[in-house]
Amino acid sequence: MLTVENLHAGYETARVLEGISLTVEDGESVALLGRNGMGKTTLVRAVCGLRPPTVTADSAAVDAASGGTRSRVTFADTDLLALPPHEITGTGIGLVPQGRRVFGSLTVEENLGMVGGRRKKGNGKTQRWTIPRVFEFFPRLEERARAMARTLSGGEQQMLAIARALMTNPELLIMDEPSEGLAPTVLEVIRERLTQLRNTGLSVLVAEQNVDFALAISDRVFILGEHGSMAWSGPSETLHDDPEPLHQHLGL
Amino acid sequence: MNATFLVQLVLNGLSFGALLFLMASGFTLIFGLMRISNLAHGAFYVVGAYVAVVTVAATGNFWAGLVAGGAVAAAVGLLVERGLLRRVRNREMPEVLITVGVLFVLTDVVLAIFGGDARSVNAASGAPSGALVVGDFAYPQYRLFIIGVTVVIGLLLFALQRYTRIGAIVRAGVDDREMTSAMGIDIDRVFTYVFVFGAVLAGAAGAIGSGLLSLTPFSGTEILLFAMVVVIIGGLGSVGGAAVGAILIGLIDTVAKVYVPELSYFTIFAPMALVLVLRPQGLFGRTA
Repeated sequence: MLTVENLHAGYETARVLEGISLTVEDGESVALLGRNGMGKTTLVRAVCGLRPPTVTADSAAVDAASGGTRSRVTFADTDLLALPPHEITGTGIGLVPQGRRVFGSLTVEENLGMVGGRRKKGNGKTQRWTIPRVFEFFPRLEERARAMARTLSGGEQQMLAIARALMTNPELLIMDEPSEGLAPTVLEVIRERLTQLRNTGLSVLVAEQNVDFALAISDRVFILGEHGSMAWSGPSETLHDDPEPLHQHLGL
Repeated sequence: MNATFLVQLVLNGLSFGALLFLMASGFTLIFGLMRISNLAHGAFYVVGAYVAVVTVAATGNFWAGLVAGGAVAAAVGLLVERGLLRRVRNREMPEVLITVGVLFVLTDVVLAIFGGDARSVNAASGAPSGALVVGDFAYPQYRLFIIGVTVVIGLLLFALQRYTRIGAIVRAGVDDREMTSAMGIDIDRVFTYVFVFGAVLAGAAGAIGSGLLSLTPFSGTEILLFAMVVVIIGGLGSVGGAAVGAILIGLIDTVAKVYVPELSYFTIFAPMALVLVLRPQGLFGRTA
């Protein structure tokens, strides 16, 4: 479904990803782990079309110059590197960004109503998300429907960020550190909801620092290592049985 | 000083403030969303004003002048945004320099076509004219009309911002451009709409202002200066702030020009400096 191949991405001052490949299959939930600064957010931003980072060889001209080390990111056979963010959302990718980034001066309801993507037509697979349905899924948001998003608690903002992404009717939900700054009880609610979403067939790619949380909601794990390369990948279960790769690459 | 004079003074201040609001609201919206100090806004005013003067002269109809002024300003705005600004998006210096360039070039084009002589107030046929007389109180109806039209436009603008989806999208864009596009919104298209909408307001201000103030090719630059003071006082990006700032500056400037005409620029820049020192984000602005 999502295929990242040989991704080179970085910033003016630093190269971060040096040839990363990963896949997320239809209906699969994948966790992306790695210490701070290893490039989790860079990868998420690159996939979603947010710039910076610049993606090396994301145009044909650079492609020719660099001799075929072209970065490729495709989703359902669409080349994402050629698309602006709003069109990437339109292909069926919903983003829950790092730091939530809800629209603070909009009410909860307005945050949900402003989205584009596939808001109107759905994703063709699962039941279409509407504001009433999102409120049913996160009852807490219905209670705060008229509140300005900036007045919400961290947990409520995270629910809103997820709900907002769902309103684009994604087939793949990409989340960047959803556990950040959340109390354990709130995190439990989020985990439960994500499990429910996975059961509907939604694919998930989640970049996380919180290993327990990541393992609890994923089928497969990728660990980013030094020098912008992939250090380890395999089923989440393997890490339950033998956490050695976690010690080695995350310093746990 | 008698009460009649005071009322007239306040109404003069409010009608000038109304014009300033039409200029400042578009300017502040464009800044809030695109982070561009759009100096070409002054050119839209002049274009709207001269088109209105020509149209009113030809048709004898104020409303035709208003529509034509707004429409031509919209077309010019569309060309500037699509043809020039879009090419240098997110590069602050080229963006500002282009808007300055557009202001100079269009001002000179108007100068070349119409000459530099001041036009006296555009005889606004079809709009209310003459004096409103209540007892021994007399006041030009046109000025009241301007205040009325602006209040209507202001309320529409507020309703549009507050109660429609496009309004929510614009506010979301002011909050966080990147996330707005990540939520599936074509932000470049929103930029174009807002920019053209601002141009329409500036063009309408020119058309209306040509019936209130004398007009030269440099009038746009002058009123732009006032509008920028209004926006700084009100807070960049805040339409409500633009309304309050416009009323304040309209009143202050009108009163000051009567009592201390030799200090006229001081009296608008002093409040601005005060706001910048005490509350740099403006009265209604939010800190970044």
